[in-house]
Amino acid sequence: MNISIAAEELFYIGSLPVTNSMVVTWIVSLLLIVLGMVATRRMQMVPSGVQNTFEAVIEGLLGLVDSVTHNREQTKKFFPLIATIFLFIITSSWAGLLPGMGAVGLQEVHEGKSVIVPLIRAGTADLNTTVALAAISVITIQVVGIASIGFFKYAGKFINVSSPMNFFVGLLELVSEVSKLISFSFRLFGNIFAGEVLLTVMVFLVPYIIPLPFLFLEVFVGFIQALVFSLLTLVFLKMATEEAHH
Amino acid sequence: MEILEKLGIDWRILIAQIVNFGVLLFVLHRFLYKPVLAILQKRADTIEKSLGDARALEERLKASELAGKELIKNAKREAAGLLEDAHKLAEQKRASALKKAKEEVERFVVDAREKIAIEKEQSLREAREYFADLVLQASKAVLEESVQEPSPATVKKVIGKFTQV
Repeated sequence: MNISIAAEELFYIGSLPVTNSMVVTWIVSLLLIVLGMVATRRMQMVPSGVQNTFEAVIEGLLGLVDSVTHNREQTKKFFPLIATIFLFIITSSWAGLLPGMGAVGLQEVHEGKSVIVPLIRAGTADLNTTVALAAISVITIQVVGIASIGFFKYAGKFINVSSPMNFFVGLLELVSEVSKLISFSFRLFGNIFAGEVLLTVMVFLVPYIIPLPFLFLEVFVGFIQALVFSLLTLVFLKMATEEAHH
Repeated sequence: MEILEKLGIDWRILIAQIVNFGVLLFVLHRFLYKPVLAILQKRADTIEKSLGDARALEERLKASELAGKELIKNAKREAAGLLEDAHKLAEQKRASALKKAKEEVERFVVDAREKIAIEKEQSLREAREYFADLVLQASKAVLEESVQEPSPATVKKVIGKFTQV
């Protein structure tokens, strides 16, 4: 049994270390792109196959975004980011649930012991991935906020000297923006990584039948986390476009 | 930042993941969301249009049904009017025919009466002449036997007595 918080490095491209999580995110991205292109290659008014599946997913997500924004224009603006976050997280998380995820790997000698470094590790079970997603989400929130209500109004949410009370509230808002970065990334990482550890331990203890419910649970957790991440981003985006009322 | 290292955070990987996500976002936006959203919109438009068409058709159907009903009602009313007119006309004709017949019959009766009166007059006159003649002859015969021939004036007086009714 080999449990490591950090994703294991497999090889290097130049000075860039390539971890198993990175490989999974690349595979997942490629898969999404290829499937997406297949789905839209021969679009038909009466959909079938891959087109139908993607249409259903996209329509569902569109409805979800609509239910938060209540504004078609805004929905169209936010939709690509939200949908991509959702699709990327859910597929990256589920990739870690594939059979053999902790078993197929490279044999390496680590601190004098021979260990198997798994080739597959959920993309979101690596803080680099989740921090990257959180950074994209938080930066987008700031940019959208500035773009929609103007730089000074947006800055006024955080720096407000009209009264000591408002100044303090502004500071809190500023801290909360930074803490979003941490809460976004650690929530996703913690959930998916904990699931991986749980499954590894369960398989190690009882190889058959018993881990199955946990496997289903992790499928569910992957979906929930993808939903939570994308919905929170969406809600923060929506909030950033609204002027502060005092 | 030892804790970041312990958690496995490496800025090179971080940037690689950001770039990866950016590329994914761009490609999916270009090749998946745009066409799918476009076709969803197109389908929604088509459905809305068909629904609108169906509604319009239904309305037209309802209108034509209404018009048909109106037409039938009018025709019925017209027919009823015509029938009534015909009845009235027939009644009039019947009444006038009856009146004419009555008048004719009356005329006939009057004519007949007149004729009968005339005939009666004539018969009476004829009878009177005949009787006068008869009486004259009879008187002549009787008087020839008896005394003498009465004077013509007396004869006339006697006849006048007989024929006076």
